[in-house]
Amino acid sequence: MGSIQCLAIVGCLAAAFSTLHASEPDLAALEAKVKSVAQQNLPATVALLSEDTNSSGSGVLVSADGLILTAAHVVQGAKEMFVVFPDGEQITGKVLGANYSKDIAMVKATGKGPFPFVKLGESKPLQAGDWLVALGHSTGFDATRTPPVRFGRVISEGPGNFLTTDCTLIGGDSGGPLFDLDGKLVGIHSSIGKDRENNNHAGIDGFKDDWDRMLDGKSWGALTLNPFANPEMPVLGIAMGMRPEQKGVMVDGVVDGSPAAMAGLKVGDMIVALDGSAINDGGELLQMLAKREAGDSVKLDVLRDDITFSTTAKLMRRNEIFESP
Amino acid sequence: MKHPLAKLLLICALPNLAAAQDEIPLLRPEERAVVDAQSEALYATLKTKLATAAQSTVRVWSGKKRLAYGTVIGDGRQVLTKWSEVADAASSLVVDGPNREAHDAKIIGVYEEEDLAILEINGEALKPIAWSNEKPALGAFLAAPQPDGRPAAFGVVSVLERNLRETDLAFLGIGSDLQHKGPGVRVSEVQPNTGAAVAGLKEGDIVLMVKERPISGLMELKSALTGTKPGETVPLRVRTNGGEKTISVTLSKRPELPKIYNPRLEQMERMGGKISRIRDSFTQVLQSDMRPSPDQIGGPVVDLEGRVIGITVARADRTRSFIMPSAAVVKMLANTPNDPSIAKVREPEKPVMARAPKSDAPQVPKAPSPQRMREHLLEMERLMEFMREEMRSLEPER
Repeated sequence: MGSIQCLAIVGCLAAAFSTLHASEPDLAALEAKVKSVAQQNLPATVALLSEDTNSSGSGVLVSADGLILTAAHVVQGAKEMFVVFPDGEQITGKVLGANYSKDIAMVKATGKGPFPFVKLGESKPLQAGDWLVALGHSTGFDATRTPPVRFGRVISEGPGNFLTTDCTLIGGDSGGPLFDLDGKLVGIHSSIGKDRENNNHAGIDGFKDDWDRMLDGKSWGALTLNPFANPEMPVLGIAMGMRPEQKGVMVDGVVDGSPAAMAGLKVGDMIVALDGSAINDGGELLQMLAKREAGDSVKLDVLRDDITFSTTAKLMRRNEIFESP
Repeated sequence: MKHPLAKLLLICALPNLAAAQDEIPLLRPEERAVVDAQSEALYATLKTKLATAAQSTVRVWSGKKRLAYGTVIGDGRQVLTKWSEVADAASSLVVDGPNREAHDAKIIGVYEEEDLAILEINGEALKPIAWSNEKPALGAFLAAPQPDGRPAAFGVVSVLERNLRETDLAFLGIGSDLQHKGPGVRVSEVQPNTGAAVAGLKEGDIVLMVKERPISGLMELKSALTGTKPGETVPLRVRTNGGEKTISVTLSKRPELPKIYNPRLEQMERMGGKISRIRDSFTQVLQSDMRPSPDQIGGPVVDLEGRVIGITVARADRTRSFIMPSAAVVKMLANTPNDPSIAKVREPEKPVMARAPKSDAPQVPKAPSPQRMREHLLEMERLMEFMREEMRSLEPER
């Protein structure tokens, strides 16, 4: 009986959302945009090959003088890479910097150009249901075809700067571009999970914070596939206590100088909501935090001595307040 | 949980496949609700485009097992379906269409290369499909119906029409020196009895142009040859010891070459659902990101105007399905099919085993032991040999 009720509730929610957000999509208009995004951005979607590491990924040019954005794991171990355009033209590129924690990197094409390039968009405003177009040299450069076009939408935000879409990816797509319907670059392909809806991309806004350091040739961070182990994972700086009979997360410790300390949290407080969404347990708090980024401010509803009050915490990176292992 | 996507041809030092975990770790119920509602609205709109084609879409059964979809052709008593899915049916074939009425069916003809079969059905005739010669553009929306009119799959044109059969590709017959940074391709080897040998190309020569196109490197040479056909004679601009000259080379067919087994890629291909057994070497197909299941292959595909632009012929992997365009289907049907009693299912491509697949590789790479390092080196040498072989062939790779 219980499961049937659950299904009914989900059905109602879906119906409510469909009237709000998804009523009668204008498919012809949508199709026209997808065609134009694909065609206009194909020439700047390159394959990146390294003979030293035998890595074969993708990248995208973002300036006429040859700056290429890609994924950190594509350039890992390489100093120089072949840059191959969809028509087969091949030049060399110099690997600049990378932030492995975000799986983002830069390569500079050698030669004068001017090269075809794409415009940068924004990834932070993206949310579930936003339509997207993915390009990339799936399974490596293939002279018999152009980089395959894939269409989909945001399925889930996070962790941190990453987002998950149902634009299906496969080996070779890594480092390739993800576009919004205006044709602006919003992400770089990073990894996949078993589910076909589990395709992960590094958001373009993550590049912006690290732009100059990468351009300067700096590489840092650690490639991790577990969002909760990522050193850049945003945290409050609390120890979570157990209080199974009560909904919320009990504060069992507060790190000095942490977001929690600055927000005035004390041992014994119960965090019951984050940005208006109820928090039932520690897992849910971690999940909600993983969708945010360091530097973001979150509103916490806190229960102390039977009184609920709100406070704001500005999140920090885990490795800013906890020692790295 | 997650897989870095760079395709690594050799040893990958990167985290590999962990235990299968299906869910998206950070998916919130609110997000699921938005996405599901969006799919529902999309499918409702698509239904109106699929209504006509659905009337000519059937399911092909063997007992209780659905093998494939089919497309009604001819006078309404023939069905085109996927040969490899119906060839070894355990029991006799039954077809049902939009009104769910069961028709006994038997295979009357086979097109082995296209992996398609013609069935003849008993009972009342169904509505034959109306083909369209419309060629959808890159990024155009495509949908495939279920017989009841609901969508079976939706996607876009990922790659325009092309030939996937490697032996149809033009072959020059040189190996390239990978140390040469360009421009051009420095010949490291000339294979005997090829166009390159006949034309007198020598080791150390640098190929600068194919036809009038300057060649930056190996990939561009492959691209330039993709536009040519076996038997065609093309002018090559070549720098030799004695200076530059233009020579004419008659291209041959690409010989069959071993395909390297890449366990990581193979595994990724299967992540996201079942795939068709025969999914390669089609001579005329569009590539789409639509995701019909293998037992939904063989039905019609429409564009946003509801025009039937082709039929599905394979679900190839996580990212790809292949669609045979209507014009190619009509042309094929003008040829006499093979007798089903002697027709064979063609062999799927068998890649060369380079490394045993690992089912449960560790998620985080560990420092390899000296023993493992030696094994890696041996593996690498073997793989390098395969790679050299591949490079030597120097023809458009599929």
